[in-house]
Amino acid sequence: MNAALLEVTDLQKRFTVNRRQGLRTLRETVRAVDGVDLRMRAGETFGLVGESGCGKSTAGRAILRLIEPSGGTVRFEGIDLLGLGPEALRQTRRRLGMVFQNPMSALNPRMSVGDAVAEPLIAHNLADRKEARDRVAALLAQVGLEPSHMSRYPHEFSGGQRQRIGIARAIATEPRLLVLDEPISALDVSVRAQVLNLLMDLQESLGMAYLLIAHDLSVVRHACSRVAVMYLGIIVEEGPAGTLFSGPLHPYTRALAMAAPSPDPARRAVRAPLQGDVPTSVEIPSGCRFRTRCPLAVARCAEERPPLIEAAPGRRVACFRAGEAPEATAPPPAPLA
Amino acid sequence: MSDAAARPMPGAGARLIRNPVAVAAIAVLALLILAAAFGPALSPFSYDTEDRAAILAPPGPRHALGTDNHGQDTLTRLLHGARVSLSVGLVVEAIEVLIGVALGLLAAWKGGRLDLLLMRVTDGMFAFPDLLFAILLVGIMRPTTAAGSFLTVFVALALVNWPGMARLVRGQALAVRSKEYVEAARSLGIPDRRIVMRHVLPNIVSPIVVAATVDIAQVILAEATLSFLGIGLQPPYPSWGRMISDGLPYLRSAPQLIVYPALALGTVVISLNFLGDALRDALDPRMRG
Repeated sequence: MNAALLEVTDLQKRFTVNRRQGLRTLRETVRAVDGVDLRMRAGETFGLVGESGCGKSTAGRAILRLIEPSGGTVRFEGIDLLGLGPEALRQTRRRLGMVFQNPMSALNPRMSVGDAVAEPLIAHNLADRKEARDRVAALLAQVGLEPSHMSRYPHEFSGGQRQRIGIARAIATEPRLLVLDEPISALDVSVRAQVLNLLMDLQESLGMAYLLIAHDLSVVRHACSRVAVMYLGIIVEEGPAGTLFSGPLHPYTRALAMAAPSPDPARRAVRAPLQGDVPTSVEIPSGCRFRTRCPLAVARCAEERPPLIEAAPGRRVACFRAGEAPEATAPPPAPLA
Repeated sequence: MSDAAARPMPGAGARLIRNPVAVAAIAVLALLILAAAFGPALSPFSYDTEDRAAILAPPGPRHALGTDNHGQDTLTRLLHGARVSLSVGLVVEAIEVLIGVALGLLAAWKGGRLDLLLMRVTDGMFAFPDLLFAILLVGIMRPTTAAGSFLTVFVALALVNWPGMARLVRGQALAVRSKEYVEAARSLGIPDRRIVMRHVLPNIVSPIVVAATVDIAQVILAEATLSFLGIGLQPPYPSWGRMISDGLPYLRSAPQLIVYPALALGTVVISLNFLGDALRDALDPRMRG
């Protein structure tokens, strides 16, 4: 494996929340991200999937230090991001970027599109005001907008167009890594594919790596080379996108894969929906945190935390019963590739 | 590329013009500003011309609004008083907005101890009666000249009034700070200064404008109060508050001495309040109701 572009080790983010109980206020710790390891190579698309609340967005923001991680290390291009001072971090962000879920709220309503796209160029001294104008026109064209849109304001655009504006801002400084936080899930169904394809085209021409955070498996399967599945703040399984979903090793991944809509009617019939709700990240179950909803759980799962270990080349899974099928609930998964 | 202020609030101007109350308030204030600017030059009298032949004269052809106990023309003095009220209102408000916006933004952005300190200072100022504090400041500065008394009133009123603005700005800025577009700006490596000036400030201009408009009325009233108490502007330069206190002994024989400045004061204050309400409606239609 060539040198990693991004190397995340034991990333943690804890929040302290005050909960009222009668007159007393209890201080509780929410472990939103509880020890996440990631390795990304330059130019690849890495998917981070999981249910809402599993910590995937928090992990993405903690990697960029948009929220300060509570622990762990983040190395980007060999630089320890968590050790950087404010100005060094600001300058490093030229090579990092983020595309947000909701393009309505991620654009300043009082700033024209031209100013918004020019802003990162000017902030990093990549262009003076005059050059910025030409660059902005080129960037807008690159994301499928008209240069004449420069003088308009965000409210004059549709959701898909606004997301394109957000993408133009994010790629203005030619970053090496973009964190895409549910980039298409807030958009109209009709424009999702267009925006996703735009992102794929841009990746091809600019060679950026994507950390794609999503809950929609079909998007991830379509776009990613590798995928990690998160549950309650940790990664439970990781592997190549193709084999991960066709032959899931972790019971949670299997449930996700089965819950996803499938074009194949034969697969549709054998859904095994998960029982119960996700426990809160305040009261994380002992041992394996998935055991409360796991069809395969045994006594050992409550006592020990299963480590994330290599189960097959390029595949890691955190489960004592990895690869086993639940009894009599579904036919065995497709054989591993 | 156009400036961010070029079209900050689409349609706000049009909405303001369509509101008859706003138009009336603007017309009254514009008339008053014109009167204050050119009126004194058109008057045949100076503010301290004493017409010995017409002491406490009722309104008539020579003195349109009558004269006071020194034979000074009331209309002329009212026009000069308008200069005082309007300039005090505008200058003090400008200082207040400058201090309030700077400190409010700083507190909201930096947070932590600075924020805590600033908010405790404003708490303290709120707990202390404004007017007493202004009187105290005037007493400490003890102006001796007319210009000095002007300056003293400016400083005293600005020092008393900034905490309200700082609080408002801090609260609004805190709300904007958590918006996703601020996070987006941070993710792009935009410097903090620029985020505050280009992303936070433009999005809190509306409430600042509205509050400042209504505040001007409060400042004008406060100046009138100080002058009424005899610690504002020093005579002989007229101020509405001083005119009211000077007219007090003649309440029964020449009530117009009090009625005219009081009317002027009331008109300005009401106009500014109406304008403030109309601005709020125009700048943020969702707040209407």
